[in-house]
Amino acid sequence: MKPFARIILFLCAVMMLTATVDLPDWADPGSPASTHLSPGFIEQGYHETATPNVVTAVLADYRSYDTLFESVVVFAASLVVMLVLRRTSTGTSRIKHFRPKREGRDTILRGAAQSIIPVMQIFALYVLFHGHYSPGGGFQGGVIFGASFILLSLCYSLKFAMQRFKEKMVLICCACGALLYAGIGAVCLAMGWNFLGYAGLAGLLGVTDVMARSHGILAVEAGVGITVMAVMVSLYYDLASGGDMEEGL
Amino acid sequence: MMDQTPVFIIAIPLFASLLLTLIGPLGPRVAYGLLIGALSLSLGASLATMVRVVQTGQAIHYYMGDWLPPMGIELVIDHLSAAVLVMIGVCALLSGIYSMHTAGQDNHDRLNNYYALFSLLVTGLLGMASAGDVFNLYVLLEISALASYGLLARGGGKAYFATFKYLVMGTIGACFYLLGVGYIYIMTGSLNMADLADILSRESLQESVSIRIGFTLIILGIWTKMALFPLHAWLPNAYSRAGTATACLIAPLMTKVSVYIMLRMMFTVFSADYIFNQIAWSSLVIYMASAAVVLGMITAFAQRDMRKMLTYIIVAEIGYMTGGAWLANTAGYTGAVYHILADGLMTLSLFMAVGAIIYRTGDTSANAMQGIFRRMPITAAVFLIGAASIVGIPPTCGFFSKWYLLQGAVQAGAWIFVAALLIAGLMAAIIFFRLLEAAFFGNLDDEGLSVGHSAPHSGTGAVQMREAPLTMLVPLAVAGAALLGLGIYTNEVVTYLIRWSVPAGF
Amino acid sequence: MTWDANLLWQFDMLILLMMVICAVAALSLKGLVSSAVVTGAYSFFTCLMWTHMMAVDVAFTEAAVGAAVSTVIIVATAQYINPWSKD
Repeated sequence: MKPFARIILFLCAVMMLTATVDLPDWADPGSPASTHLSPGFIEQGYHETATPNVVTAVLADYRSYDTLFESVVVFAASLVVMLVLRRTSTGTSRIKHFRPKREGRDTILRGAAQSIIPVMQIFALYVLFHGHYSPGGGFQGGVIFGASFILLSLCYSLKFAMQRFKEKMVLICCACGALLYAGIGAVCLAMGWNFLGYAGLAGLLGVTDVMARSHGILAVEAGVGITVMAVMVSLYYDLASGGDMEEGL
Repeated sequence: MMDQTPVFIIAIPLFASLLLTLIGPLGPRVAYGLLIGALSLSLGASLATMVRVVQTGQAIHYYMGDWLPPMGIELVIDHLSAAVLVMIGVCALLSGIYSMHTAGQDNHDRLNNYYALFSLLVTGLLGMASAGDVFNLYVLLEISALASYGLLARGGGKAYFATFKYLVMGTIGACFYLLGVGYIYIMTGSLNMADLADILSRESLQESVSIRIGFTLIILGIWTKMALFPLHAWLPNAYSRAGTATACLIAPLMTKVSVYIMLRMMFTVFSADYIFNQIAWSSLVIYMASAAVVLGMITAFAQRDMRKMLTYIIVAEIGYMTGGAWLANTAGYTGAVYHILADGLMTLSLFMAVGAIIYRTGDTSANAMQGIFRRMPITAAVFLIGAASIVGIPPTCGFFSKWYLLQGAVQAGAWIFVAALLIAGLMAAIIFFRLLEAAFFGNLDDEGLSVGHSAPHSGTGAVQMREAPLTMLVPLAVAGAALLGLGIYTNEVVTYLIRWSVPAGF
Repeated sequence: MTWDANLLWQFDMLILLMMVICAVAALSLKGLVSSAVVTGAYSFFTCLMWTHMMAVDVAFTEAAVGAAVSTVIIVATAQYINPWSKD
């Protein structure tokens, strides 16, 4: 089977390299990707959404329907991992793990974690809410926030982290983030605009359509952030403990 | 302000799935009720949309977030998508109702999370069928794939390994699709289907190697997803080892929606002219499809396990649809599209009937069919209708799709495909005759007979009637009736829905 | 800001070379945990590559998701697979 797999891999590689023959040059300003839609986004993006970072504007407003489903993909991943792995502890774990024994008191680790985690969480919030002006946004901010809980559980123990961020709470956060995103879409729908047409929030917030889009982006980014944060934590809880929530990495 | 029904089709199951994860403490009844309510509302929205499409005779465009395409994302519901949306809605609702007993059996705990994934899978499928944007299609493909991995793995035991294989193959397929979309984006700068079709029809891009390889990657990815013959190895085990409720949802829908994506890509994004004149693979694909049809049926014939047999029949049915789509004429295309609808219902009714038999007998092998007509008459009748449809006996819808496919194959002069269709029909007849013979005349256990002899007064009543529960029986009966109904109204379906979607250039 | 494609092409080549080395190493290393760590390194080089292409948003995501969290998750999963098994 192995030589066969190699032949297939080789053929795929050849095919993909052949495809590069008539691709436009790298970073060519005349390439279709930079001339077809991008000028429109760059020129109108700020005037239509009041968001200087074009990437955020495209991600969370022009293509917000995609982003909604991307956050749902992440949510689905955590749901799948939980459904497959999670089981109630039976005392004797059937799954064998091959991790080294933990010895001694990890004073330095814990001290470092204590000082890093608060900074990390503040930074995560900064990344999330500063997504309008600089690289960042819900996905990155959420991952960093989730990583802070993972760090907590790595340096202390899984139980310690789970006391602070309970499993039930994690699942609720997973669903609520995506629900916030979809809910904003539904509110726009109720206000007489299309699904996810943030301009519909203008009446509720008492601002102009353009500013309403900017606020809408912020709100959905927060939703994405909550989902991604909770999903990262949930994936770690399930995978590191093998599903019985007894002992982590 | 535009008509908002298209978004309800997708948003309702999405909200239901998010809410279902939150309402765990309320118990399984509430979860079941929410799922069924959401699926019915979504089906209602699909029907309303279809009626409007048929009445106005043109596609509905829904602009997400009020951004005009190609800047924003649009949903496009034309005649083809409307038909597929209704098919998905019907199959999902029926298997949702059907799942009441079997899903509880497979999932003692966390039934609400199981239903959340169920609803998410339906969201993904509905979204794919209404997408007007190639990248959006990919995102929804991932959602439905992820949800199906989770649902299939709930079968436990052997299902884990089979699902892992499916996961690897499915991920490779999705990656190929994404790579292909990437190449096409680099060459065109657009992701909107209508816009892409416009750009790709330009003279300068017709000869482009990158576009050609992009198309190859997309088609290979979709073929992996829909289990066309050499790439089908993951399907039988993954589907036959899943729980009954899961199999009833996934087996009819996943592969059919992949076929729909193939048609979309072939005829909406690229054009019939590009595919049949510039690429000119069609004879190769017809050979592949014929091989899929014949080998799928032969392998099905060799199976003892009923569900495994049905999964190999799915492999053969995929061959029908692929062959029909690549015949490059109106009859073949009509047959392929009609077969998407027909095969969804056929597979659904067969899987539900077999599921009900397994639920009552606890036996997955063909032995379970012994004397089924006397013990479970309604289930057996639906099984008979489904089998007749697979074989292609009028007035079931299977006959008409085969009729169109044969007509198309003869017109195109694809004699190998004609031969494959006829052989497959014969093989299917043998397979089902074997089962139905046991079901009609098969003796029950000796115990049943001895009871009959010792108490002659009771007559046929000696054989205990033990039908499936009502929640299983009603969807079964509806699916059986739908098979006949679709067959009887073939002319209307073809005139009002399929005719309109026949691509230009045939 | 103008972008000169020839700027620092040596840097480009170096990153690409390191990516290839990491990819091959991740496949051929014996221990699963080492493979996982090398995958993290691969992600880091990808992140550098994105930065070099001025796709800062993508680079940021890659750094947060690819290099950090997914490495932890892969390591957490690898502990359940016998690191000395033959496959």
